[in-house]
Amino acid sequence: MYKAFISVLRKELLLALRQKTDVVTVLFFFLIVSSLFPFAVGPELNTLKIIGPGVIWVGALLCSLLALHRVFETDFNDGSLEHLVLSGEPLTVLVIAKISAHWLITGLPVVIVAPFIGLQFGLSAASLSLLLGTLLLGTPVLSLVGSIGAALTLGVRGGTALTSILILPFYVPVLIFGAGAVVADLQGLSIDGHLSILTAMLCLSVALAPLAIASAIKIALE
Amino acid sequence: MATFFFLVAAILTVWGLYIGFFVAPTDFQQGESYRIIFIHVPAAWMSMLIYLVMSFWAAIGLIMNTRLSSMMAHALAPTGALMTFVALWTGAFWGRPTWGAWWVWDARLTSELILLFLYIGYMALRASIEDPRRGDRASAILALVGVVNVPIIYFSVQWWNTLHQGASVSLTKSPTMATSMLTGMLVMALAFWMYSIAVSLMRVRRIIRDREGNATWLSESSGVQ
Amino acid sequence: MLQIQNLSFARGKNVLFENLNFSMTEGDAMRVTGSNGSGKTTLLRIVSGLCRPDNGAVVWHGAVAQKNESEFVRSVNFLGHDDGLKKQLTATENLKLMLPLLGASPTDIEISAALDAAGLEAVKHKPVMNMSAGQKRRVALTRLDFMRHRVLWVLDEPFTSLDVSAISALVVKLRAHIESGGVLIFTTHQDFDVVPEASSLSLD
Repeated sequence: MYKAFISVLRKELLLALRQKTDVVTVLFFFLIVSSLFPFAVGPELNTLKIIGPGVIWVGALLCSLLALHRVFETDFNDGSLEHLVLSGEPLTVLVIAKISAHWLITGLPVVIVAPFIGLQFGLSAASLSLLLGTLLLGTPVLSLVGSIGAALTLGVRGGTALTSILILPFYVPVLIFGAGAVVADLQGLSIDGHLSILTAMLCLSVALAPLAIASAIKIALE
Repeated sequence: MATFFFLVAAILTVWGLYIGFFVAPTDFQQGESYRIIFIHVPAAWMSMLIYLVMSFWAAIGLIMNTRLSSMMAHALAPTGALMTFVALWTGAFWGRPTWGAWWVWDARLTSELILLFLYIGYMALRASIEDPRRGDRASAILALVGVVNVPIIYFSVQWWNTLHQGASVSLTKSPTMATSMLTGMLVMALAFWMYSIAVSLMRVRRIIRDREGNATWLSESSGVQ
Repeated sequence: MLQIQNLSFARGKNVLFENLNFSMTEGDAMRVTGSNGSGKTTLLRIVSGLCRPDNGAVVWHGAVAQKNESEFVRSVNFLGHDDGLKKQLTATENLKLMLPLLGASPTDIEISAALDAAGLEAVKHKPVMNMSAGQKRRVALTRLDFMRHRVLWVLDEPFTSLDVSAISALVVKLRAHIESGGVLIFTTHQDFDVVPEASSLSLD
């Protein structure tokens, strides 16, 4: 089981290394989307400070959505998804390996870049580090929950737009507590609740999402 | 059978609306505009109940591999979405005179909106999968993921709401309800219930005709149903 | 060893097969034939556990396969239309990363030797995307060399895109598997009996 997990993870990372443009595209998308907001609401720093955490969180969320289709789609098209199912290893474990790789490739870079974008919105050092923390807790949840949608729409017409319709309602709680923590901190409120709920959501999605994804994959292959 | 339920629904609606508009007293705080709750509250109840029933049938269909239960889930979704929409719409009509705005980011209203999105997602996924049995099973998983998430969404929206608005106006704050108001609401809820059953039965019949041509297998799976 | 019991499958209103029965034992081979859309691929996917039948069961060593899924699929070696190769990776990398998942852990030298034997010596370190269809298929078939531990071989169109010499090389591999007590089910478009000892099942 451990060997299979590692071999899936290695394969994904090697593939990403061969196709770096994918990662870079997501990052540029993040940068450009969040830079659009000052143009829309004006350069007033006090306004930007208030909307900053929300904008960055929405940006991260859109990036996650944009990258989602790559989690299983190519594997579905080239037949390697069948190998995962027929390996005899627990599919949930392999699914976690794939999503971990996906998060390392598309989620983590976004988290790392986010504080720099936060600077554009005049966020303080304390807010920036909190933003980094909530993104670290929250973006894996986005990847896990989003992958359910990606697996359900495998081989279905509609692609990314359909996945977004399915998944965005489930993103709402993550967004509320992720961006909410930074805002609450700015208002001088306690953020312990936010952080523990984000952690709870992470645990819950690690435990449950792979089950849903594994069944969705089996259904897609029939 | 559907005709029978339609008839019951019609009678109950007339009765319920009569209580709502002629028997129930005028609310001393909200005047006459409150009377929309005779439609609003039952619709909101039904929107949530139907989601649960839909997910239940979807789950049975997924686990036991019975087609009829999946078709029931399929048939319930549009009615559930309609109820959610009615609840939102009447909520807006009630909100305009009461809160002075068509839309308020109230926790209940927001959760109801997200519920509408869940219904839309369910129906969209169903509609995009050509193979009906794959559609049954994929949408069942989505419905189940939704059931796990609904409490989380409701809780987070409530948290978010209190954080941003302080004490917000709430439906539950109204003083103890007159008995006739409660009766009217319950009768209307029953009417909506009957209507939902009638419409779903009609729809499930059409789905069976579309999908199976003739339903020889119906006798086999009716035991589970 | 392998029993197919009352298998039925319909796609929508289109019945592909109904009450299909057959059984196979060690050293048996079977060729499934039929026109396009007759359900060859579906039958193979059901036998390998990828797809659920409407009715009936696949029984392996006396146990219903669907009930003991992870145990069963570990005895199955399925090769589909799509070979599961990643086009950005080389032939060597593909095999090295795919095989551990399927329960084989060959050394680099073994993989290299197998690719050489398949006549891929010159291209084995090139990305798969630069290969011809026949070469890709040969890479995918090299996998068979390491799949002896999976007794039930289910191969969908294994001879497609292969030239004459590659076909005879594949036949040698298939024979070796049957002779060592394996079970083989495959589909083919070819009219000639590539594996003469195989029994034949027509879905038309």
